[in-house]
Amino acid sequence: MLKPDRRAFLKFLAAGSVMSSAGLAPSIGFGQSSPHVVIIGGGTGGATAAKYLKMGDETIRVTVIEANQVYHRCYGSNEVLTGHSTIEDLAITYDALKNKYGVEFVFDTVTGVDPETRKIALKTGAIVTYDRLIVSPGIDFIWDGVDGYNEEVAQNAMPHSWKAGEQTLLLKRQIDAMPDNGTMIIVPPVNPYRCPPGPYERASLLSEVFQKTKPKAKILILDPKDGFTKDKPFMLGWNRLYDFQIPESKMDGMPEDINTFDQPGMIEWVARSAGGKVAAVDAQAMTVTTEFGDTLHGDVINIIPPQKAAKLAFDMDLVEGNWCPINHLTMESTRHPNIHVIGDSCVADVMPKSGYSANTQAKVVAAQILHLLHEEEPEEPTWSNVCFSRVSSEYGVSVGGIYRLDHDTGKIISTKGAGGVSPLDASHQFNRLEALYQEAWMENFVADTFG
Amino acid sequence: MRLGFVELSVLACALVPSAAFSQSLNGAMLGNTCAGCHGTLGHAENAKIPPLAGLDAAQFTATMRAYRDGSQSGTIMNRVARAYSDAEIDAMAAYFASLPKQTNE
Repeated sequence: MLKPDRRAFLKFLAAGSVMSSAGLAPSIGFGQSSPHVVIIGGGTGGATAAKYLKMGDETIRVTVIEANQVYHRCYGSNEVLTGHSTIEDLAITYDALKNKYGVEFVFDTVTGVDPETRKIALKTGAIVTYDRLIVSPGIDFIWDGVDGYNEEVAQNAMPHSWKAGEQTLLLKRQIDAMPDNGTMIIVPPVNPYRCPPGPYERASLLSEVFQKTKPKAKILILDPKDGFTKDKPFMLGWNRLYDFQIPESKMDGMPEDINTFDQPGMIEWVARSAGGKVAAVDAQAMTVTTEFGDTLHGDVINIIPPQKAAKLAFDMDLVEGNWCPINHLTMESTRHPNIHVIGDSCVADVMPKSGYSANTQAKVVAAQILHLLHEEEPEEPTWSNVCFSRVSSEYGVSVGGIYRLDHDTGKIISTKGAGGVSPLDASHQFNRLEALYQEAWMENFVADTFG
Repeated sequence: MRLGFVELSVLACALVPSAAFSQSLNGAMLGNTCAGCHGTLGHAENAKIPPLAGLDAAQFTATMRAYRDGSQSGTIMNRVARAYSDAEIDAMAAYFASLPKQTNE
């Protein structure tokens, strides 16, 4: 059963048609002869889809509906916390997509989508019609589950800084003001969430800074999981750079020359099974209490809440559980025809919720929509993910995956025998190169998506 | 401009015999997954990751096979190359060879 407000969102035309017949609502894309693909959301998925649609066929109309004129990318936002970048460095405009590729932009907020008539209502009163719609709305947070924690606490005391913006700057101010012997607590979320290595790269890069500026500081990671992506390559790097004692559970495959420490180093990681799950917080006292009952004080507390598809996806009735189920051949919603869902909000099986995943999902959806508009069969799809993280500015680790469609199950699967994380027996030169490639990747990836 | 989505799929089909259920992957579909690191249409802004546009097909094929069998050491490329069949490497090679080479602007 749909909630009444959701039904109104999906069937806005009963009311909206009065407005448009009175001639008050401008109509965008109505009565055009060339096909019109509309994309809601100008993040990594939406921007890539727009660009590759126009590259594939410049005769179709592509319109992106996006709330903000300037996009702030999440990738690279940990470097704002360390002071190596500014928030302005993360800002990207849509000029190249508009001027080089002819993508149209409408800066507005969606207030309703009618999948039957293929019309989108906007806050300003405009109506946009589409032949095919791509929705790439990103994530929202799940605020419940931890006593004493809510959105207000995140905004004022314990920022997540998981969408580049105000909270990134708040967390930076808190880190800068932290006493020299202070403790920063990082609480990563349960799977699945956006940017799986992000919390651990954040701990790494801040350790590198603290070694110089606050050598007595501690970074305590309280994890609701017993492992995380690239955990062993990260921990090996922490062992080499930040006196991290590798836990027994992660010892398998580690090289012989790892260091052993009696005292915890700058980074300490507490797995769920060791009491890492946070059950309650006290924003006044700046403490967290674990499910094992330990209460710990943090001078800075960075809680990254669990995640779900963005509110728009719920409003559009595209969600089952927390995410949007899709037909993986075409990325089309299994709930509403002609609406394709890509990026963090879609169910992409083994693919991580990363910018790179969203970028390759966008290319697949662009190719398939062009086939469908040209009345051709969809082609065989493939996707990939590549993610470089830095353990320090000169020490990188990576993970990669090449993904295919399993036609028997309809699921996205990893190509067997390929992909995976940086080897633990890698040379110093290897990790140095992966740090260099991380920088080159950032530049090339932003250009492939927005440029 | 249609970037040879159609032409290259014909070429790839000629090179890769179709499996029972899944069809062969065309060169552009494969090549697009490389673009996040190596640049759109094989043109890299930061050439520390090598641009692939206009690369000689035989050279591309030899390099990918060497990464795949480990006779050439890279960082992530050994892990990536192991995902692809000979026919898929050939389709990617033909696709990148068909793209105009990057010029230093």
